[in-house]
Amino acid sequence: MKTYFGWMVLVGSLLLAGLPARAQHPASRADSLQQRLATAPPDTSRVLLLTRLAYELAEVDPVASARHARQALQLAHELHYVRGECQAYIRLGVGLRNTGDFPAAQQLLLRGLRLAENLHDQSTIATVYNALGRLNSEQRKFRPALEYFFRAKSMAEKTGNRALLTRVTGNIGEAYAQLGTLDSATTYLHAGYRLDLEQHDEVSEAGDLRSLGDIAARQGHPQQARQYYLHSLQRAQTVTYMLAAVYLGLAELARTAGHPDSVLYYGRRALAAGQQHHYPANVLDASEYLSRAYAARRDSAAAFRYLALANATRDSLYSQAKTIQMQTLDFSERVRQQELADQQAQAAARQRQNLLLAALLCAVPALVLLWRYGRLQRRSNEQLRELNEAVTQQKQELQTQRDQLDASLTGLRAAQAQLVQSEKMASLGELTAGIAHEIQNPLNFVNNFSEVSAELVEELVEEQQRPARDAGLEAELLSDVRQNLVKIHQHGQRAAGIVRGMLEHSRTSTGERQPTNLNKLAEEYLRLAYQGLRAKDKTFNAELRTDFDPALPRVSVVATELGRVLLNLLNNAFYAVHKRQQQSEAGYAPLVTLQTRRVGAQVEIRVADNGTGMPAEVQAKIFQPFFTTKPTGEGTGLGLSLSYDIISQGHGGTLAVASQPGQGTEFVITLPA
Amino acid sequence: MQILVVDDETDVRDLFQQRFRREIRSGELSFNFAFSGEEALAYLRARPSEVLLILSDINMPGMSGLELLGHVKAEGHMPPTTMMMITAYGDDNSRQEALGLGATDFLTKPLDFAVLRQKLQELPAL
Repeated sequence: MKTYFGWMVLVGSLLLAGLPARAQHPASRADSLQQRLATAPPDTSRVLLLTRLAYELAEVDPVASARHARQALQLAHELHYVRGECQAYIRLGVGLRNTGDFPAAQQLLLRGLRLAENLHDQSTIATVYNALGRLNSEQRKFRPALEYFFRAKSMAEKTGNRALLTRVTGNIGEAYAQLGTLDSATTYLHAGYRLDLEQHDEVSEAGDLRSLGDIAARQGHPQQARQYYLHSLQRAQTVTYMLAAVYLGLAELARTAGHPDSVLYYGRRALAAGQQHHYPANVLDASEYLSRAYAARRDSAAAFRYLALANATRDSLYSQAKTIQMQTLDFSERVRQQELADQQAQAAARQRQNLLLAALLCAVPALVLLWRYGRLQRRSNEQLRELNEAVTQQKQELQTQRDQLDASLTGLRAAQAQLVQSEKMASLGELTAGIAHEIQNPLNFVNNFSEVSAELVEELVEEQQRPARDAGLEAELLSDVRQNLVKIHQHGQRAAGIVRGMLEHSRTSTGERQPTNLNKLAEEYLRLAYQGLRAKDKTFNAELRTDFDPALPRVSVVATELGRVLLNLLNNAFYAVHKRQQQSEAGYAPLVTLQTRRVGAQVEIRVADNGTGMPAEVQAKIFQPFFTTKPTGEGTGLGLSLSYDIISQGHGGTLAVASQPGQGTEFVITLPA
Repeated sequence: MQILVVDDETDVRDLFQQRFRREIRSGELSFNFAFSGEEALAYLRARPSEVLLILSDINMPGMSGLELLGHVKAEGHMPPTTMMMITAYGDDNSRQEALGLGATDFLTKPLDFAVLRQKLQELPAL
């Protein structure tokens, strides 16, 4: 142990002496790459340039790094440049890992690994192993991390990739340090540090110094730890990735030394560094640390504030939804989606944080009470942890419930859409029978009048050939033919109108309102409804009485929609009189009345019947979806509910009902004129 | 021979008058028209024994052709009249029902006027 210690001091002084001589740091290398990039043509060398830049910036400016990696990937795709694609995947994976998108990072790294394997590129495979190892240690999975690191190390040695060997050696040391195997950690970190100097790798240097600081602190050498940290900090001014970790190390030293104010100062610096340079993993560490620090000071409000931040950050880092989302998207789509998801995650995180804060603040009084009686800091920490867990668990439960509700809602919406469609098809079925009958009459007339006109013309020709022509008869024949042509045209139009109406009814409504003659519309649908019913049940008949206001103004409506409402109301009216008719009541004459009139600034359409009527409890429910008094299979229970929506929401009108059992029912549609 | 045609389509009048124009001109046949069952019944009640043949559509709003048939047969003070029923629904049930009510014949739409003319010539009362 003693020898170790002396050696460490030696290293410490070495590094102090070596510092000013170091000119090439990642940011300046990045600068020169940027300059070359400005003039590089869009070919394979540009792809490699972009991946190099992404590599240099990964721990300096992770957002820019990821951006360059994306550009590289896109260009490599376009050029079908597999080697470049492979490098780009790895760089983008590392970039996303540093910005906290672990699932996506893993996916991209594995993709890069597969390409590297196909290319038999041992050096790159080793690089991916190292990156995967780091991904695992970021998630505090140090055992699998070590496995990857050792594989990477052995391959780096075989291929003579000293740059990678430098990184991976330090990474192994850090993982051992985190696992508490301090001897192995120290060995690897010293080896790594030597390589850092040899390779001028500031990123690795900052990390190794920080880990050495951690070890010194844990071994009870605060002075030495502080020195390591301060040196690491000098490197970390450019290697921003390490800033937060170093500040937290310093904070921990201050805590041990009993300087609570310094603890908070360094903690906040750590948090600021993580936030400023976009490292969510650092934000999580720092906010958790600050929460504990404030809890120790019994400043509950501040403790909760940082706890909330920690929770929100953890959510955005480990959200399950994010994992699933990333898995289901293919890459080209993902580049775009990623940006979207990041924005949404940020917004959601903010929202969750606010909600959590509100919830937590409500719990503050209870906790203050608890703490008043709590003697030990340890105990309050424990409570805080439990509360944290409870809150996290509750939040997960809420999330699960919300997801389930979301799923049911989506299902319900789909079912509703389907039902609305089936209601439409059902009413189309009712219409079709009416239409078939309606269309047959005009077609018969067209056929008959054209046939008879041919006969008339024939007779006219015969008459003209006779020696004694009857001028009166000829004139009569001609007049008949002319009149027939008009009738043929009329009935042809009538048939065309019916077909058009049917098409309009089946088509999804465009929802366009047009000034409409409601008398004509009402009459048309009265016929269709009546004939439709007659086609289904030939024994049925009823007296139809119409009372149309000839001075009715044109009203702006969606004719097909209003037609559906009328069809519905009329069908119900016919159904009611038919039911009463079947009761074989003496002297009963079924009657359905359709009336239009203007009332002030409004127009009324009344559909009345003298059918069975409805008791009050049925009347109260008829506009509810799925309510029906018809036998199963005869009605969807949506007709009146849809009618109600069409009139009230679609047209700004009202649909009212008045009914007496055994007397009849009247529906009144009121529309603004 | 007086024939009463009952149909809710008013153009039936022009059609019959043209189709049977020769018979009308020669005085063989004489047509009257009613556009509902109720109108037909009122016409028949006002002119008992004038009409020898009724040609009626079945499917009409209000009083149907079959109901009209029932009334005509039930009102015994009127002389027996030949009733021909016309319908768009040529199903067997309607046919049985019409014949059961005492209709002489049952025709389906579209009406074949050549067949109708033939049937009218073969009627014993002519």
